Amino acid sequence: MKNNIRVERAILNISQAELAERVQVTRQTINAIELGKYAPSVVLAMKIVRVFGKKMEEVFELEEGDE
Amino acid sequence: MNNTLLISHRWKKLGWALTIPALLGGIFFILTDFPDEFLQVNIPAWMERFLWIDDGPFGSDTKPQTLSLLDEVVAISLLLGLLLLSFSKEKLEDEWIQHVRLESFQWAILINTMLLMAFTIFIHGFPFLNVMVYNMFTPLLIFVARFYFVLRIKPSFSKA
Repeated sequence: MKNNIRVERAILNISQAELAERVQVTRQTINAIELGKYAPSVVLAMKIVRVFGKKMEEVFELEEGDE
Repeated sequence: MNNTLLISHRWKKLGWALTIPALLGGIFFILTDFPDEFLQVNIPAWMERFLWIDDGPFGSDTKPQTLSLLDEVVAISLLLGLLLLSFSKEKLEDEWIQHVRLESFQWAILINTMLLMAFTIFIHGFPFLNVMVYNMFTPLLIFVARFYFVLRIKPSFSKA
């Protein structure tokens, strides 16, 4: 799964740590998601897009290997 | 994420406090042979029937009346310490940490079993007892090493 969390963070001008705090996870979790090493649960993904005020598909996108 | 088998983060300190000295002590005593005269206790007569102790030296028909508790103390401290380190929560136990936890348990069992198979092929007879002794601790040791490596040490490499 691809995501553009890094871009959305830049728009809001918040760090990984700040985003992590807002969605109640560790900074490493945000880092792992940004690097594409970890696919978050639906609950966490929804919390993240809510911070950005976006829809799910605007932040997360399926990749070839996912289907 | 609720994982009911995990215990409070507070136990982690006790985990380290037991594991580190027990591990160092264990390695030291294995290299220098466990001294028998340490932590000697007399075995009460009523307890003898509950204990399974080797007979004395060959030819003697009396069981030992005393027992050195040093190896038991070291082994139990190490097992308990490793168990606390493995089953205590992180400060913020989120889903990625749970993911790393599961992965680390899988790595631990996999590596441990492969090592055990290799040692089974290459080590025979009495020395195999040593393999079994190390094997008492290796699953949890590998888990703790891998789990804390991913959580604490690996991020410092990729910070730049």
